Amino acid sequence: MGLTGKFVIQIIWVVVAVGVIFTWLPIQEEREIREEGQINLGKALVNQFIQDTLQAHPEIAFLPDQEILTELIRRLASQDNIAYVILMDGSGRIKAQSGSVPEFPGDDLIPRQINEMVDEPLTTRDGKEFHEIFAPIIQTGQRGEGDTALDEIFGAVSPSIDRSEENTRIIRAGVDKDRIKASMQKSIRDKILLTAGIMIPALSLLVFIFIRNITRPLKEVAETVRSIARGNLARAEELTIDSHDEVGDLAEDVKVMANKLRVNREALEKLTMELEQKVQERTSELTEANRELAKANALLQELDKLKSEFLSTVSHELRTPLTSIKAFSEILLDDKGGDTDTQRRFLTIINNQTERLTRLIGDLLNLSRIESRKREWKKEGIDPIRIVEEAVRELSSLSKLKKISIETRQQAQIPVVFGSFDKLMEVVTNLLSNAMKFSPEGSGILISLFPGADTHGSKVTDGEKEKSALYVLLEVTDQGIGIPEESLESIFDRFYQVDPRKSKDMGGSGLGLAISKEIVDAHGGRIWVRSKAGEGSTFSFTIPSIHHPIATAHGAKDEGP
Amino acid sequence: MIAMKEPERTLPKKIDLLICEDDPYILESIVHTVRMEGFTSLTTETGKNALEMARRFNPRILLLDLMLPDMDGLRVCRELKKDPETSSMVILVLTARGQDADIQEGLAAGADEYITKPYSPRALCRKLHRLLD
Repeated sequence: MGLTGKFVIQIIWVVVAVGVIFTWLPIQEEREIREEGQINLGKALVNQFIQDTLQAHPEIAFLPDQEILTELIRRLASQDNIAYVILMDGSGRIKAQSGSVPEFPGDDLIPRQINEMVDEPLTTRDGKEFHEIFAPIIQTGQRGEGDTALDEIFGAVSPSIDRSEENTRIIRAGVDKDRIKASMQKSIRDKILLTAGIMIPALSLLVFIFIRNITRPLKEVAETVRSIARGNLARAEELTIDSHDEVGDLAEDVKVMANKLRVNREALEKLTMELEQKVQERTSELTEANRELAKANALLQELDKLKSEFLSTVSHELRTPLTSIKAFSEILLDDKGGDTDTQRRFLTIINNQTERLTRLIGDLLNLSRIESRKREWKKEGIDPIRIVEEAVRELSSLSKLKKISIETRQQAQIPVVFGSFDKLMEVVTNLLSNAMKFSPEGSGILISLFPGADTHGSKVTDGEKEKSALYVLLEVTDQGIGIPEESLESIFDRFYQVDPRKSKDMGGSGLGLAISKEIVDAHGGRIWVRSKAGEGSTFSFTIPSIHHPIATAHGAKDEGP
Repeated sequence: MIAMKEPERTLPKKIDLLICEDDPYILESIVHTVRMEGFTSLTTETGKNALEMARRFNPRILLLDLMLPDMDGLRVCRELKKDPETSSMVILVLTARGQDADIQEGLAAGADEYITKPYSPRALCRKLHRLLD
C-alpha cells in the first residue's frame, strides 16, 4: 500500500469520528427541543382545555355531568400529541377517561394533592414512555372581588368552596414519547445520510487530495532514487522539486548523491579502462616474451640438432680411416695379405689412413679452438703482402713438385690489415694448397691484393683513398678443375667435399675451407668463391684494415708496409 | 652315340655378394677378404647402382654401407625388402653409425644383420660362411 493510502486510512478514522460526532450532537439537541416542545404544547392544550371547560361549564369541577365530561375529554384526547386523558377526583377515582389508557404501575394512580400544573416522565408496565401532565381543575384567579359571573354561577362556593377530595378534579394527559421518537426517525435518517453520503466522502476526497499533494513529490523522489539504483544517474537532473521543505531538501540531497555517484562511476570506469589497457600491455609483452623464448628455444634446438649431426658426421669421418686400418692390419696379421706387393700396398694404405686420421683430428681440434679461442687471438696491424709471401714460401716444395708458377699482383697502395698473423696465414695457405691440389701440372696460380670498400670486395680505385680503404680483398685464382655450380653454396660447410674420392686421395679432411671461413668470419670479413667446372676457380676474402672501426676500437696503429 | 649326348648348358653361378661401399680402401679390404674365402662378389659405390645391380643379379647377400654419397642406405634396404623379387635377399648393413637408435632404424628398414665399423674381416668371414655354406 502506498504512502497516500496509509495516510488516507489513518485520517479517514478522524473524518468518520468527526462526522459521527457532528451528526449525533444535533440529533440529541433536536430530540430534546422536540420533546420539550411537545410537552409544552401538551401543557398549553391542557391549560386551554381547563380554561375552555371552566368557561363553558363553570360548575364542572363540582357538578360532574358524565356525558359532558366524556365529551370534553374525547375532544382533548383527539389532539395529535395527546395520547390519553384521564379525569380523576382528589382520591384517585377515575371519573372519566379517553378511549385507551395505558396500564400504569399501581402507585401511579395514587392521588396527589396539587394546586398547580406539574409534569413528569412516566413508564407503563409494558415499557411505554410517556410524559404526563397533571393539572387540577380549579377556578384560579376567577374568584376575585367583583367577579360577578362566577359568583352567579358558584354563589355559595366562593370562599367556602368544598375542597374535599370528593369534589376535586384532576386531569391527567399523557404525551407519547414514542411518537416523538418516531417523528425523529426521519430527521435522524436524513442527517446520517447527509453525513455518510456527502460529508464523509467529500471530506475523504479533500483529505486524499491534500495527502496526495504532500506525497507526490516524495513519490517522484522515490522513483528517481529507483532509477539511480538501476544505473540511470542522469535521471536525477529531471527532478523538478524546488519546494523549500524536507522533501525539497531530500530532492537536493538525491541530486548531490547522484552527482557523487556519477563522479565515482566515471573514476571507476577510467580506472577499469587503465587496468584493462595495462593488462593488454602486459599480455602483449608476455606474448612477445613468449615468442622470443620460442624463437630462442627453436634456435637452441636447431643448434642441438646441428651439434648432433656434426658429431655423427665426425664419428663417421673418424671411423672411415680407422676401418681401413683395422681391416688391413687384421688381414695381414691373419696372413691373408697374399703376395708381397699386395702386402706392401696394404701397409701403405694403413700408413696413409693413419696420416689422414691424424690430420682429421688436428683439423677438428683447430676448428673447435677457433670457436673457443678467437677472443684470445693476438690481433695487430699486418702488412698483407707479408702473409702472402710467407704462405708461398711454405708451399714452395709442393709448387715445385707440380711445376706450378705462383704470381702475386697488388695495387700500388694496400692498407695494413688488422688481424692475427698465424690465422690469416692459415687461410692463405689453405686456399693456396687447395688451388695447387686441383690444378694440373705446369699451370699457374695468381694471388691478387686490392684495397676494398666493403666486405663484398668492391674495389677502391681512387689512388688517394686506396691507402685508407676499410678492407683488403685477397683473391687466389687457379686454372684447375673448377667447382660445379651446385657445390658453390656448400663448399664452405664442414666435411663438404665436391668429390670425396679425389679429395681423400689428396689428403683433404673436408674441413679446410670450413676453418678458413671461421677465421675470416671471426675477423669481420667475408669469404666466397667464383668458379666454372673445368675453367678454374677464384677464392676471395676480405679482411678489415686498420682504418676499420673494428681495428680503431682496439687502438690499432698504422704500421705501414 | 655322339648325337645322344645333350650339350650341357652351364648356368652362371649365382652371385654370392653385392658390396656397396663408397670409401675405396674399405671396399678394397672387403673385396680382398671375400675373394680370399672364395666367394663371388660385385661392387658398387652408390645406392642407385646398388639397387639396379641387386635387382639384376639378385645376389644372395647384399653388404650395404648406410652412408652413401647419393642416398640413404636405409632407403636401398626398404626398397629391396618391399620388392618380392629381392625381398629374400639377406641384407648385411655395414655402418659407422653404431648407436642403438640407428640399429633399431636399420632393422626396422628390413636389414637382417648389422656390422659396425671398424669391422673385423675375421668375423665377417665367419658370418658369410654361416649364411652361405
